[in-house]
Amino acid sequence: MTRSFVAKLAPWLFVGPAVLSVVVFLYGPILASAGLSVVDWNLLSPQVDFVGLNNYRSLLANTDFQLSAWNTFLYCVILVPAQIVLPLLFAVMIHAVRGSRMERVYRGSLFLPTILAYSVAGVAWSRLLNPINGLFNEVLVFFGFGPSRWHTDPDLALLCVCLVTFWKSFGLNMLLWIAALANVPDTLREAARLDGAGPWRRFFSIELPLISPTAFFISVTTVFSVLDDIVGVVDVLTGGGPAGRSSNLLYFLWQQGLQFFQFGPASAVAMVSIAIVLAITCAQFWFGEKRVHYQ
Amino acid sequence: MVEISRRGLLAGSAAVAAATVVGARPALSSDATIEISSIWGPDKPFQKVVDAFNALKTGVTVTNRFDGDYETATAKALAGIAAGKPPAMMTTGWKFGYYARRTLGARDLNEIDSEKAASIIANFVPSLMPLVTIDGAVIGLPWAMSTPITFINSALWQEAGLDANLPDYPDTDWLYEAARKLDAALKGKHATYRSALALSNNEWTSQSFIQNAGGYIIDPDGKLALNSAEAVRGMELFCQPAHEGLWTPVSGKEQDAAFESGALAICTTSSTRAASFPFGAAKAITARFPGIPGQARKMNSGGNFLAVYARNDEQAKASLAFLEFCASAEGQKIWSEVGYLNTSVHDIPLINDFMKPAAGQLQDGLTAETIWPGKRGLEGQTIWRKWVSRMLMKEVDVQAGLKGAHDELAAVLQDA
Amino acid sequence: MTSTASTASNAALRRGAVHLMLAALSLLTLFPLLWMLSAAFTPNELITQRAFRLWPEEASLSNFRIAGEKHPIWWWLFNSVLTASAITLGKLAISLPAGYAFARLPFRGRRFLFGLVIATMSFPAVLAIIPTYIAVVKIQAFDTYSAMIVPSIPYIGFYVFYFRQAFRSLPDEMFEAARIDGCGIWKQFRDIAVPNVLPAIAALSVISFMGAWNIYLWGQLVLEDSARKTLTTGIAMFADVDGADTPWGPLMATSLLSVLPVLGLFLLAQRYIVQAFSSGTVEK
Repeated sequence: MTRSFVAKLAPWLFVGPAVLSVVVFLYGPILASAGLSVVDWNLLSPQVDFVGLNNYRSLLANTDFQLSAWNTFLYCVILVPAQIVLPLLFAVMIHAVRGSRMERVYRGSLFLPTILAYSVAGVAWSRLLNPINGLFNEVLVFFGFGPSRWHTDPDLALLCVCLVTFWKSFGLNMLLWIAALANVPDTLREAARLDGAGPWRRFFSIELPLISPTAFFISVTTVFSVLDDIVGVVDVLTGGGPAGRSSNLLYFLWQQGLQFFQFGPASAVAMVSIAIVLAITCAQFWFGEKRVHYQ
Repeated sequence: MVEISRRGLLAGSAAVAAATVVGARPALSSDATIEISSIWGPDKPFQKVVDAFNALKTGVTVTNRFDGDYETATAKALAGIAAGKPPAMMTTGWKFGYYARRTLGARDLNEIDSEKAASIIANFVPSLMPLVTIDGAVIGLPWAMSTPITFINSALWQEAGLDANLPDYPDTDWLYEAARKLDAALKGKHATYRSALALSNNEWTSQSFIQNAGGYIIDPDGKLALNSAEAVRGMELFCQPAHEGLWTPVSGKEQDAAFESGALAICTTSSTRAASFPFGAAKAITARFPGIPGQARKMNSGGNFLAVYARNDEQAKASLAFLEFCASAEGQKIWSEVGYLNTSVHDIPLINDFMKPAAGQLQDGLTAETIWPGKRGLEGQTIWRKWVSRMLMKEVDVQAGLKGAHDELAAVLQDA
Repeated sequence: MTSTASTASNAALRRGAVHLMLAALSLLTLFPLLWMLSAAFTPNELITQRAFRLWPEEASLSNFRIAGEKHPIWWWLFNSVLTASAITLGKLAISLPAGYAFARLPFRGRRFLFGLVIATMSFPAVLAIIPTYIAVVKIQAFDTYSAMIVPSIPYIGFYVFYFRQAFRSLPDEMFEAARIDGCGIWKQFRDIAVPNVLPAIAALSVISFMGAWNIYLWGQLVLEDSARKTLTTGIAMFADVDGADTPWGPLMATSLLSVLPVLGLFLLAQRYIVQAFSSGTVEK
């Protein structure tokens, strides 16, 4: 009697802390943001003023918001494919030299930026990109090109942030790809080779289908980790500048909410971002589900 | 080791001197410890002021907490105040005076102890008191004052064949012509030379240009005044070297790094750099900030004060005790090593000759930097900087940029 | 020349080319950090004099000493270790049992709750930051270790997901014997399940530790006292000094200090990480 009761209760005890913590610390704040997005309040204002949808209305008219929304789109278009495909390419190369003594060296070197702090990355890169005498410009000039303004050039700032963000975070996806490739049975590859399939054919007809679950997983998580990673890079490299050209929605949120303490407008940004996140996730599941090959 | 003992020595001698000046004071009824949120780390002269004060053993012990730049420290203070743990005092940029008073609730020194406040204030040049008086409340002392001046890399200057005798009152015609000559003589030919000029892309030097052209960002009546012909002239001249390719606007840190490594020939920036710039690889000479041809100069200054945020009386009184020491001749002397101008009535020698143009500008008369009004003052600076950037990179022309800035600032600053 | 020989030499050639490309890639990736390494050991006065130098002129350890005099960097190191360990332990403590239950214990609402937990994998952390910050300030936890640690724990979607995979891949027979011996659910979990997924635990601990070590924005926000900062947030403050005298040498020495522990950990554990990720193949 008690035993079966315990057995019934056990699963709840096992999942309870996890479920509770995500509800309290992740879903809770999102609900709270919804509430905050319709008020005018900062930590010190004596009362909370209800302002209805005003925060949203002024947000939509705000050109900085529009610019950062557009930038968010650009960031996704550039970085998401890059963060998926290039790490796969690196993983394939590392997989090709597996067993060699250098394998660990390559893997370690390529992963190193991922374990760096943003503050460290920012300091290192600002020396390289300094538009007056950074090393990149010294190299350009040495080879006879004109210097570039890099992250201070309105047309390049976003790309520079992409470059640093990519550098800073491709490692985890690369590891996931390496693991997925290691999991493809060698017998299958061998069989295909004996059938006369070249390396490209083998990759596209054997390996890619078998690692498609990882592909799905990576594509879902990458969209959001990319959005998050950019905030750190923007904060240490450009501060969103020049003139907002490298900001994105989450950085805009950070600035509004935690530099200017405009909790209402910032929470409205959060709600808009959540809507976008949800839409992308649904789209991914809708597309992804059909194309993933499960073992 | 050498450094530590040197610091100890300085602190010790200052303490002895201070004790004689301030006089042995009875300890407060109960000993108090106050925490100051500052923009200076433990290796900066401010720490020496703190150490010297603590060595007096007045019963008040001060700890210095380094919180990053003005903006970061201010944001932290807001959280601390909301959490009921305000710092007793905080270094507050003048430009955030309204924000400090209206949003953070900086205390009126007179209201804490009017008698003592008056005796402390008497240490400073009276004409500067308006800088720290917000809504009729004295929320700090006008002491850590700096002003933008011109730093020139003397080696590059000579190599380009320019005259090492700098004019007393340089103007933009002279400065930009020199920049062009530097570029012509050195660009692509010199090992470290990369750029002629940097005027500092921030809210401060752009304000200097507007004021030197006879305009205002915010006029003496507290109204936004960006839509004036004078402001347009000032900003046009400010943007000219950027549009001409003489100036590559970068962040302050990047600009400093470039100047120090000898890549940048001319740099207009805060006079506090006189404490470090002339001693690196780039041997610097200094001049006044460039004026605008045919216009009377009207340079601005900037700085910070220690505002009191402590809510309880004991902490507030203890804070005044520390301010009293800072205001004394000895406190001010240690303080001046940061590279600040002497705004006190005490006779304090310049830390070096590179400070001369700054002292000259103080004698010429300085206005305040823009104090962004309203409880959203923190945003005002960001908005202005954004529009300055836009004008610099020609995203908008100067006229449209000033109008854009005016309109956006008006919307944010209206609800004061 | 026989065809097998030519295939073999072709393969060797291809392998060589891959090695070459990987070596180039590794160098490119490491390049931005070389200056840091060099600057960390170059006396500070010499750094500003040249824009760039990859080999320290007069190698010295003085920067570490100077950094230690400027800031409590050894406290920062301690705080980083403390908070990263606590966050990692917290994540393991709640995601291991959850992963186990989702993998092996049938109960009502399992699919829904699993979905609820792993959906958080796609939460950008910044989205929750404002309300969490307000809460931390309101309950007076501002500037405490708990403020840094507790809200960082619940990002467990990834962990629950992988532990579930790992537990699912354990053979049923393993548990059957225990059940017959009368082992309760807790004992099965503790004595059989957990010891058999140690590589996964090792891998995710390292991933979590590295993540927690580098928490930047949140730490910037809630850690105030200099002696309570972590290396990551301390370095941000260090680099933030107003004025021209950015102490590049000591700053880079501190940066190096922040990299070494996690780098060592990664090198020790990288095999487990790859292993764990591949054994817990992503499947439905």
